[in-house]
Amino acid sequence: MALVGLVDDMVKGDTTAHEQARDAILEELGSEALVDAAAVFGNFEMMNRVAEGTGITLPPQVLEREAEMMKTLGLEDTLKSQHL
Amino acid sequence: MIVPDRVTTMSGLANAQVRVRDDLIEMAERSFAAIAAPGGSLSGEERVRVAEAARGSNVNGRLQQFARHLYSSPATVALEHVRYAASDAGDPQTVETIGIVARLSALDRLHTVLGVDLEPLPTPQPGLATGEIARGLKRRRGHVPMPPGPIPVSLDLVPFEAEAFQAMFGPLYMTEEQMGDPLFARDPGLNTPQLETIAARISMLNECFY
Repeated sequence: MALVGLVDDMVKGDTTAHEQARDAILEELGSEALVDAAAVFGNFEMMNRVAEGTGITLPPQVLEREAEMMKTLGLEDTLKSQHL
Repeated sequence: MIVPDRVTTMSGLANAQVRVRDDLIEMAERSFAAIAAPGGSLSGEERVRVAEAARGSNVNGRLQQFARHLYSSPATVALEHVRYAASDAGDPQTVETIGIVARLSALDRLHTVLGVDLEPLPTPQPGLATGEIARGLKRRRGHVPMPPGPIPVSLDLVPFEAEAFQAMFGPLYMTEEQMGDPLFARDPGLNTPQLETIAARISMLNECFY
């Protein structure tokens, strides 16, 4: 999928692949979609850094609600680290 | 073929090969300006120095080293790194640094995805730090003092930086109201599942559990 490819290529720092991914989005989804993709990509670069820097944890009720799904995804260690 | 349809304004985003939404350009201009303004615990000059260090220039001092680390490798930032920075600078300056680095990361990524050169850092505004720091916040289960609640409140120790952070959600992602609508779609543009696909992918690659 073009959107996932764009993220992967940007994070890898592969300039040629990035240009191809950008062209693929323009062709498949249009220029407004590329702008939206760039914006939301930026937003989560920001959120990830705020989360890691501040060490904020998910509220316990969220972790409890999603515990079953997280076990299914093999995230038991993460659950333990969140004291659940 | 991509046809330029925008002329130069103050922001380099206006030179992108695709038309960038006006709300994004305005947000970027305001956010860059906020980097150079005096904050709660850092002067404009100190804040621009943090931003320079984040991009890899003049990385000297604990706060600057922390800024570079958080900008370039967020997945490896741990409590010990935050405490190391805070032991020298204090919690407010550390929180302010987190905000500056995080916002700069968003702005720089927006530019690189669109194939635009990074915006030069702004000239620092004169004046000392304002001293506006929230009182009575506890460290709880995080690395820094913050009120209980989700991530938008996590920089509330320094209200100036928290406001600048929160002002970016709407243009970059969705407003609070839009987040409550599972059928939200930018038209023309991406719909919620497409936006969330990008959000999930970058968070996975950054190894961000939150």
